[in-house]
Amino acid sequence: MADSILSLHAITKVYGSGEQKVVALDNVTASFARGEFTAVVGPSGSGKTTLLNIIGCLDSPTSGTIAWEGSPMSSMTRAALAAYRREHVAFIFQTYNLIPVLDVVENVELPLIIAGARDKPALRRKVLDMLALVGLSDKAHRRPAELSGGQEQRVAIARALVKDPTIVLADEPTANLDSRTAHEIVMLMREINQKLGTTFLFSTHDPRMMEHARRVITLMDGRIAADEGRS
Amino acid sequence: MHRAIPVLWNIAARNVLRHWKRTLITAMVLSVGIAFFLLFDSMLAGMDRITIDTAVDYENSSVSVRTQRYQQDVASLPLEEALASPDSIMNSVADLLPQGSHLTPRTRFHVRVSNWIDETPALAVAVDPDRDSTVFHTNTRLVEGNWVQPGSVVLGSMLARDLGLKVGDWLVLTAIRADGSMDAMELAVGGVADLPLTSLSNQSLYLDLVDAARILGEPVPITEIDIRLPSSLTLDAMVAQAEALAAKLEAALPGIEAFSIGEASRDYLAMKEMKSKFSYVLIFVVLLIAAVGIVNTLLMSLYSRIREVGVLAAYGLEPGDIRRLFSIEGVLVGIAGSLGGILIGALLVGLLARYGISFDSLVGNADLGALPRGILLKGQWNPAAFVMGFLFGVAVSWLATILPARRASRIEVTEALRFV
Ligand SMILES: Nc1ncnc2c1ncn2[C@@H]1O[C@H](COP(=O)(O)OP(=O)(O)OP(=O)(O)O)[C@@H](O)[C@H]1O
Ligand SMILES: [Mg+2]
Repeated sequence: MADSILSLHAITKVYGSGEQKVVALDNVTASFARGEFTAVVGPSGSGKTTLLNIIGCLDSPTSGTIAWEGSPMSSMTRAALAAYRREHVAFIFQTYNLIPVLDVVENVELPLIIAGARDKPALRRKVLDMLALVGLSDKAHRRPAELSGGQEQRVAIARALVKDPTIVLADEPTANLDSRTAHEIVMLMREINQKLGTTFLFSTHDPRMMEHARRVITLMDGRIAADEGRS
Repeated sequence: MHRAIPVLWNIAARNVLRHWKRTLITAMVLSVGIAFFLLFDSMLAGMDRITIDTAVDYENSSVSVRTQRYQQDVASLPLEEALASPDSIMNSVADLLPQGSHLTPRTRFHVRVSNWIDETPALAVAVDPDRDSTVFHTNTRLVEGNWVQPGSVVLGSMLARDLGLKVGDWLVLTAIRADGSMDAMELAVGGVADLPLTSLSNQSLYLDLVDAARILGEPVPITEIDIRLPSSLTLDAMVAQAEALAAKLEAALPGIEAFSIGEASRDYLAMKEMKSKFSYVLIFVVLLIAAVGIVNTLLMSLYSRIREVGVLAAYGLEPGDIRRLFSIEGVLVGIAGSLGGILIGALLVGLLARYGISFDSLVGNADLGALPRGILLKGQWNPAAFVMGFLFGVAVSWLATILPARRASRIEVTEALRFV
């Protein structure tokens, strides 16, 4: 695929050994294109989180290769994985995971600072743009504890987008939200996907979320059981 | 290099403030430890100070000028080795003294004191009563009667008690002159002094040089010229000043030995070094306890923030920076605790320096021989101890962060994110 930003080849992940051995991912091959809005679904324990973790360079596969924008990931050391994450990946978590001691603006700018940004005014401008995008300009100096769950997840989305990642990974981003807020969050993600062309890959149990996906990958026992595009 | 130092300080500082109670307790342990170290150090220095001051005030003066031959045989107090022309030596010495110094002649000689029933050996010190009080403090310790005047002597309180002598009583002094002949004379007891050094109190007797001339013959031999230098802020400065003057006097006056307080207290000063080492052992033990507190606080902090660590790591913060984050937190607590320690320490030392405590109440009734009695122990300021206390505190807290910080940096990201 010409526009492939990320491809997985024969990824296998095995946890433990002997009696306790669990094959969380079994020979998974897939490729992701720029601007995708893709859901990973499947029953509990089917390997969704494991897949996202490996794509997110949080974990390394037992075997198989990952290639970012055509070049295979060269090394699996912790520092190298961290470098890949800084460059390519952003995360949205089920439990939002904002840093409680930082205010909204500081939370959003964190990935840029970690990635080495030093130009403070440019950084602030970028952060305020992102907050406007997620509709939280008026909450810039609140602490996470002063926000609702939906608002926290919006901040988390702004945080994920701020450094223009190659791909945004979201493991069950709406599982902690009521259905209306969950819907708003998916709509926001989809809107950003269309407006900015950001690539999203999210896992979900929620059928209503799946409906918005352009592509749905179904995992069963660590294997890809279905990979359907929608138009 | 991806260094996110400013944001690390930001997060660390806010966590420290956010859990201020925990921070305060941990820092207080450190503060109390450092404050006690400073107080202890100040008291040790105060003890050294009063010990040396007492030697200066009652026994040696800052610098005592004698002949070299007298000094070689000092234990027998050889009158025949007295200063040859004391007046001219006094004048030459006076010219070399710094502003604010005082000097006085003294003659020490062995005597026997009798109350007509019992007789006991004693150490007679012949003084010029007016000048002597500008150099020595003996006259300030009278518990009965008056200071020395022609015809009447002052006795050390224990000596007076041993002989059953009181003010107004009479005694007989017997001495051997420089030429070996013996003479005796009758004198009144004019005063009794409680001297802070047991040895002086037990055997000293002060009389006027005029009376000494009657018993030892004219012209009265002068065995030493004692010099008081202007007071110095620190003990070390005092000793250094005395040694410098002694060297200067010896260079200027042939055949003269200038015996400084530094020389007189050489053994004691050597022991002092050992004691200060002991106080560093003390601070180490205390800081060790504080370090355990810091380790514990950081582990608690880490445990409650595992997911935060996961997020930072997920966004690419490297293990080294995560380690640094926790180290900074610990060091911030350490800086706070150390600052608190030197503040509390300064307060305690300040109180001790201003009001002092009775040395006797510290040591109880124990007779410490060389150590003075009945003297107020005042705290000494030792800036070096404050700097040391602060640096030790920060260093120890930094060391205490190593283990928790390393543990934080080794957490698996995936585990950390799953952690609830
Ligand atoms: N660190 C681990 N050690 C051992 N086994 C693990 C570990 N992480 C995941 N597994 C196992 O791997 C399999 C896949 O787990 P994973 O978390 O990827 O599933 P999931 O699809 O995300 O499930 P859920 O919908 O419940 O989140 C499961 O059987 C799980 O028990
Ligand atoms: Mg999962």
